[in-house]
Formats: sequence, structure tokens, C-alpha cells
Amino acid sequence: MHNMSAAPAGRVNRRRLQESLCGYSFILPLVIGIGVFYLYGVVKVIIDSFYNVGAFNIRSFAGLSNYKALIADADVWSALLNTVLYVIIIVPATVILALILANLLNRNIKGRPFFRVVYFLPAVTMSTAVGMVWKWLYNRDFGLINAIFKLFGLGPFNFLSQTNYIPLICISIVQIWISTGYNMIILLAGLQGIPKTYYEAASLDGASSLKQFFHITVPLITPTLFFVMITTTIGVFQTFDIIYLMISRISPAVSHTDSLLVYFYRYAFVYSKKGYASAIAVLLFVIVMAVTVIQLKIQKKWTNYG
Amino acid sequence: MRKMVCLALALLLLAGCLAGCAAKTATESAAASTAASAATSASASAAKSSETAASSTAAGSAAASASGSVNTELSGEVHYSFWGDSGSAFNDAMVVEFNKIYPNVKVYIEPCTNDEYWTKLEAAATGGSAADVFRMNGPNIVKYVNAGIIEPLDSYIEKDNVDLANYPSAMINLYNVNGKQYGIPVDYDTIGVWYNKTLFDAAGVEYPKDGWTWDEFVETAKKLTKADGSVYGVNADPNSQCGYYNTILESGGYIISDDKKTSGYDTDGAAKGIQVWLDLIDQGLSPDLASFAETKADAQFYSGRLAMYFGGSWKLGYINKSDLADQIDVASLPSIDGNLTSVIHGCANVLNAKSQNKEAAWEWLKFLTGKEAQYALAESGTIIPCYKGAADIWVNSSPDKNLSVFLDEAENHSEPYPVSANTSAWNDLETTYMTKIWNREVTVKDGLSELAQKMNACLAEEP
Amino acid sequence: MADEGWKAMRKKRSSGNALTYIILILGVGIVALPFVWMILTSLKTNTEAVSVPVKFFPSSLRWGTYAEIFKRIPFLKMFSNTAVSSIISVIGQLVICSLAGYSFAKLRFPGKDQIFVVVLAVLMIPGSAYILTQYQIIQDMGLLNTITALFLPKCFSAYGTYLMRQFFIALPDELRDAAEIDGCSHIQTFTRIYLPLAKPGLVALGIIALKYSWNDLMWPLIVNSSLDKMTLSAGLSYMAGQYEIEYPLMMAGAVLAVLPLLIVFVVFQKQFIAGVANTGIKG
Repeated sequence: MHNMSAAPAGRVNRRRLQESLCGYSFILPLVIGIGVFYLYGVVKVIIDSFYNVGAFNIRSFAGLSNYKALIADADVWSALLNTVLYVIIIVPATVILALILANLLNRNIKGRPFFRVVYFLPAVTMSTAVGMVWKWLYNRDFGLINAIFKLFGLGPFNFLSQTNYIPLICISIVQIWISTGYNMIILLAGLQGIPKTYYEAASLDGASSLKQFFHITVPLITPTLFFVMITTTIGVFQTFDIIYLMISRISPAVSHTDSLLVYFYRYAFVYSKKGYASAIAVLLFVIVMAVTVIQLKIQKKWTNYG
Repeated sequence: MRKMVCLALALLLLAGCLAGCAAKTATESAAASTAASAATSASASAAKSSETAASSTAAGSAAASASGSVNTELSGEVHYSFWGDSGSAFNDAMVVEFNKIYPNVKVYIEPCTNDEYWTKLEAAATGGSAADVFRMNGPNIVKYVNAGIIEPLDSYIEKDNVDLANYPSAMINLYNVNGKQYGIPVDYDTIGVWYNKTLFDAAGVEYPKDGWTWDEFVETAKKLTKADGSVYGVNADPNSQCGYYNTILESGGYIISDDKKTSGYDTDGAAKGIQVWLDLIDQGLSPDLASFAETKADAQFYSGRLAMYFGGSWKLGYINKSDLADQIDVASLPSIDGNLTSVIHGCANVLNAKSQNKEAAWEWLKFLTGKEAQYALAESGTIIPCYKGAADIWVNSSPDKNLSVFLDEAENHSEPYPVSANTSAWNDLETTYMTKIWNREVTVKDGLSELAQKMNACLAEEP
Repeated sequence: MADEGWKAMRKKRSSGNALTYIILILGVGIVALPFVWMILTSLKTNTEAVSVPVKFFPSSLRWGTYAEIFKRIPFLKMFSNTAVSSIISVIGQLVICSLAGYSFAKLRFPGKDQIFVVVLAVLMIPGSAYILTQYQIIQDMGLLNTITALFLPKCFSAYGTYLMRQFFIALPDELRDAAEIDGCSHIQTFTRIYLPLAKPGLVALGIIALKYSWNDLMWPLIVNSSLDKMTLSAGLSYMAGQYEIEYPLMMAGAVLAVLPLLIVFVVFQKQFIAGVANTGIKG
């Protein structure tokens, strides 16, 4: 068939136009909502970063001075380092644990719904409560974990109040505790899409479960895996409640646990220096975007579809 | 089966929502009972009968004999926001009383936690939607006055013949900016040493005596501290109002000069006033800063880990609610070099300059700071009311405790709480540097001199 | 030969099963420990909760603490606020995100990919960066301290759009083309053909949106000031943030707050997993 454009050009164009209009109108509510509540916020934050904004939005133009101060501020860089560390520790640990658990749960075992519900529990509990309970568990003087160690004659350990990265690791453990179950359920769904016949064939050929895991499961689950990785990473960047609740302002561990977001919060809401806080926010934007773009690119390259 | 569960769930949810919408808030019913006990007997009998419109006039006239005529003209809404210590229940009860005089004014109580109060107030005030009447403290009054957010009250005070002599002059002056009166004080506070009698008895130590010195205090702490760390003598956390402000003043130093232009942190007195706290930790008489970062000092006190606790008079309500209520008594601050000094502070209620209903808002403000409400506040045993004579009622609300030490300090041994036009700016610096000093990241001398430098820079920027 | 193979496999599977159970139950222990602690704490007195040395079990079970919550804060009202605002924001997201997701997946219009990237990027930024500007917008709209303020900004979600887009991408294009030939308008194609197929995806999105909305803390805290307009999380935080913390009360509140979400998940587990499984994220 040579002439595919047998249909009158006018009708095709009109159809295209109609489809475009429909396309735009379908996304209109979303775009308006985002424009009003989010995009406007981004623009305002960027503008504010060039001002000194004090209480009651009394402002004076500051040019690049906020950014200059940002670069010179040692606390910003330690907050950035902390944030990177959180991502490096939490994301792989959560994803690997979730994958292992999902794999186990995918087998022929009883009580699957029970396990799923229990593992899901941390993800739906209020962050205030989670922060308080874990702060209590880790407490050097009153905490349950040290009490258990005491039974074995160990400790007491200082989990949250050291001037090194131990508190950061302890907080990471809390975040891992929160997200693993949720990610496990998502990965479980992904696993259920892999036909059982692959495994049976491999078993008949004598492949061990470990081999099956690496040669069947992992390659076929890459899309879900990347989804979980990206969303967990974004979640880590958005972690605020846990850190803020567990580390008080006077703690020795502040500079080693504050993420960029917590640092932003302190400047915006506690010190009321919104101009500087906006500069920090801009830095955060740039980093989150860069990380997301990188992950999406990697996903395109490494994901096996089908 | 699943369908039944879904249906049950939906019904439950619906029931919850309806119950939520229809139910009187729990605090309203609690308020009604508190009102009955807190108010004078005339109003008490009126409260029980003031349900229907008919009897409200009867109640109105009963209240009328107690506190003025019923005013049905004043109407509209009044929003009141505040934080903490007097509690929602008390304020709800006051609304009930207020409505006996002004039945057509709807008062909305908006309680808040101390941490969020200032953030929210600032955000609301920036857009002009702060509450009609709100609670204010010394560190923030000038900032808000300078931003034009607070209405001067002089004309209202004159019109209604409010007698400011009924309130402590120090408090009236705190809220008098540039010659105009911007708030009427509701409460004041000083600092004392709360102590756990049971722990004293167990260690065979005598209770603190009036006029005790810092050295005697340290000796007492030593005897109370147990070697196994289950009991410490006292809390030595870096608390400004309850801790180092007082020791700095007693040591001959100061925090801010009278003209509000210079910091006193680089004086010898300041260094001495800070060092005494570090010494307590070094001698093992108090847990270290890390411990307080994880568990606040008052929580440690209530759990029986601290024998003594530097705390304000406002702690009374919490102490009486705790399990240790009748085991706790209080003594005055220990003196240094013969000086006994406590900072004195108090909060006031102020009127929003942008309020849409200033008439009614003023009446609510006047009511809260008037004799009836202040005496009721005294009886509730929480914070010390400002109105003349109310403090004595407060002292008697817990007769088993030596509460008069707070009044004595207020009258004879107090200095005003240090504030300036933009207090929060250097308060933040204080927290930062005290944390560094307590963590031994810097020496006392270096830390304080840097603090003084930065604080002076802040003060120089003020109008 | 085949029989031996099957027997060997079954044997391996059963011993593998034992190990599986052990690991899973250990996991349950670690996951559940904080909750057990939460519940135990809710039944203690405040002194017991913070005592040194640590008290594992309360000396008496004080169920009264749960009743106390209802006296301290208007719990039912807060529950109703949380439920109403969460449900409305979930419905909002379902409608808006499925419309937008479908459009990004199945409709062709210029600038589609670029707009999608911007949408995604803007909403992946942490919410607290927006809070003040959102507060000011709500303030200008005169909606401070209302239920509407609670759900309005939450009706728009990048995550939701992303999820629905992936879901619709996984569905065949042929359906759309066939519908076009049959003369269906785009709206009809969406509502009559694709949307019914999207049920599992909608359930998945619904549960995820519900989870985020129910427990959201910062936004309700700053935008509503009266107790009777607050959500559960803000109300509980108010209870905790008064000068003194009463741990048993806090924990009891948290336990009560988690129950509804848990029940929803228990009931809708299978659909949730089916929805996630079909979102094409699995490939």
C-alpha cells in the first residue's frame, strides 16, 4: 500500500487537533493545581534566595550574598554529606532486604497475609510516634535496647549522642525499618509476575536456589527494582520527621545527622532567616533533580522489559 | 465475606465522622464542670441553669450582680490563641463565664504547643490573619509592636477605667513600648529549686533551708548523688531562664546592658555564672548534656532520677499531675556571693491591630486579665496570676508546698528577664554557643567572648 | 528419573521452607518490637514509662489511658477531619492523576514529554520547601483553618501521575485505535474502555495516597489552628508538644491512629498487590 495518506488531510489534521486539545484538557486540572500550589512555590523560593527575608516577610535585596554565605558555611556541606550518606546507606539496604524478604514470601508458605500486614505496619504509623518510640528505644539511660544489652552484661551504648556517624547509622536503621516492608510488598507484586515455569525448569536442570535468584529473579525484576530504588531515594531526601524528632537541637550529634532538609527547616522556621533558607532549598532542588535524572537514565539503560 | 467487611468498615467510618461532627468537643464538657468549681458560688448556680434562653436572663442577672450587666449588643467572633501552661480546659471555662456577660460573642480558643506557637503566629500575622487576642511574651513584644501588629491599649484602658495599679509594675513596664501600653499582663514567674522529698529522706539529707548558698547546695547534691548513676543530685542542662541567667546575675555579671546595646557575656561574672554548671557535671552531680539531649531534664526529674530540679513557678500544674505530686516541694535559688537573684518574666494578652472585632476582642482581653478570671486562674494551681491578691490564692492552692518562695523572690530578689527589640536573634546564638561550651568544643572564655561579639553585632542591627 | 528429581526438589523445598519461616518470623520480631513497646507503654503510668532501670511490663494494665485521649483532645473530631480530608484528597488524586496519567500515556500532543518531566521534577521536591508559599496562597484564598485547606494541595501528586501513566502504558494501544475507528470520543475511550481496566491501579494509588495523607504532619499543623480543625497527627503532636510529654497518652493515640489504615490494608491487600503488579513497572 503506497498512499497511506488516503484519508483527506483536513480530517486527519482535525483529529490531531482534537486529540491535542483533549490531551491538554485532561492534564489541565493537574497543571493548574501544580501551577498554583507548587510551581509558584518553586519560583518564589528561587526569588527569595536572592533576598534577606526576615520576620513578617520584611525583605531587602541581597544579590548573591546568600549563595556566597552558603558556599562558606561548613554546616551546609556537612548537611550535604549527611544526606549523601543517608542515601548510600538506606537505599541499598532497604532494597536488598526487601528483595530477600519478598523472595522468601513468594514461596509456598502459610500465613502470607499475616506477614504482609505486619511488615506493612511501620510504613503506615505516624512519624511522631515512630520517632518517639525509636528515640526511647535508643535512649542511653532509659532505653530498651541498652536494657537488653545489660542483660548480657554489655553496654550501655551511646546511640544518638555521639559526635561521629553512629547516630546517623542509627537513624538510617529506623528509616530502613520503616520502608523495607512497604518496598517488600511492591517487589512481591513484581515477583508474582515472573512465571513459575522458569523456576521449575531451572530446578529440573539442577540449578540451586541461589543461582536461580541471580539468573532468573534479578534480571526479570529490574523494572520494579528501579521503581523501588527511585522512590526510596526520593523518600530519603524527604526524610525530615525522624531526624528532627530524634535529635534535639542541643545534641552533640546535630552536625553529623542534619540532612539538608532539616537544615533548611531550622533556618526557615526556627531562625526565621527565610532568604538563606531559600538558598538552601535551591541547592536541595538541584541535587534532587540531578539524582532523579541520573537514576532515570540508568533505568533506561539497565532495565529489561520483557 | 469481603463485602461484609467493606460495608462494616464504611459504616464505622461514617459513624466516626458523624460522631466527630455532632459531638460537642470533649473539652467543652470538661469546661462546664471546671467552670462550676472555679467560679464564684453565684455563677456556679447560674451555670447549672443556663441552658435555655429563658433562664439565661436569670443567669445573666445572677452574674450581673457578680460582675456587671449583661451586654447583648456585642456580637461576632473573637479568636484567642495561646500556648501551654494554663491549659485549654481553663480557657474553655473562662469562655463560659465570659458568655454570661456577653452571650452573643462567640469565642474560639486556639491552643498551641510552645514549639509551634511563634512560627504559626508569625506566618498568620504576616498575612493579617492572626487571632484577635493572643498571648505575648517579653522577648517578642517589641518585634511585634515595631511591625505594627499590636494595637495600643491606652484609649481602651482609659475608657473603661482599668486600674493598672492592680498589676506588678515590672510587668506593666515590660509591655509598655515607646510610652504606649500594648498589653495587660496575665501571669508572672520566677525560678526555684523543686526537690524530691522521698530521695532526700532516703539519703538522710535535710531539706534545703531558706537563704542557702551555692556551696551548701553543692554539698547537698553530693550527698544525694548515688555512685551507681541511678540518682543524680541536680540537672545542669544549659537552660537560660531557669539556669544560667540567674547564676550570671548572682555572680555579678549581666546578660544585656540596660540600654540594650551591649552584651554582658564577656564579663567575668558571666564566665563564673557558666562555670558553676560545668563544675556540677564535672563533679558527677548532674548527667551530661548528651543525656539531656535525649531525655529532657523535667522528664528525668519526674522519673526519680534527679533529686533536685531548677524549674519555674509554672511547673506547679505539671508537678501536681505527675505521680510524684505530693513528694515534691520547692526551695528558693541558692545564692552566690550573698546574692539571691531570679529573673522575673510574665506574659500578657495583646490585641491584634488588624482584628475585625476590636470591641469584643478588648472585652475578652479585659475579662481574662480581670479579677474574676485571675482568681480562677490562681485556684487552678498552674501559673501565678498578676492581679493583686491572686498570687496568695495561688500559694494556697497547694498548701503542702513552700510556694511563697516564688513570691518572695518576685518582690525582693528579682531582675527583669533580658530582652531587646529582636531577642530571638541572639537567643539562637545563646543556644548555639552554650551547646558548644557544654560539649567542651570550646572553652568557657572563648565561647562566651565569641557569643558576646556576635550578640553585639545583632544588637547593633536593631532599631 | 523424573520421580527422583521431583522428590529431591520437594525435599529441598521443605528444608528451604523451614529456613524461610525462621527468617520471616525473625523479621516479624524485629519489625513488631517497637509496636509491642508502643502498646506496652500505652498501658503504663508515665513514671513507669520513663523509669530507670527499664520496666518491660506495666504493673497494671491501664486501659483508661485510651479513654483519657478522648478527654484531652477532640479525638473523634480529629479522626473525622483526617478521614474526610484524606478521602477527598484520595478521590481528587484518583480523578486528576488518572486523567493526567492517561493523557501522558495514550494521547498525543506537542510538548507532552517536556511537560511530564517538569511535572515530575516539581513534585519530587520535598514538601516542606513549599509549605510557606502554600500557606500564603491558602491565606489569600481565605481558607485558613478549614477542612478544605487540609486536602486542597494534596489532590495533585507526581507519584500518582507517574503510577497511573505507567499503568496505562502497559495497556495496549490497540484499544484506543479501535475505539477511534468506532467513532468514540477521547473521553468515551477513557471512561468506557481504559478506566475499567485500571481498577487495580486505582486501588494501588488509593492506598498509597491514603497512607501519605493520613499521616501527614507538617501541613495540617501549620495551616489549621483550632483543635477541632486539626488532623490526628497534628492533634497527637499537640499532645506531645506541651511542655511535658506523657508517653502513655502519646502511644495510645498513635495506636488508635494506625488502626484504620491497617484495617484498610488488610481488607484490600490482594487488590493493592494486583494493582502494583500490573502497573507495568514490573515490565
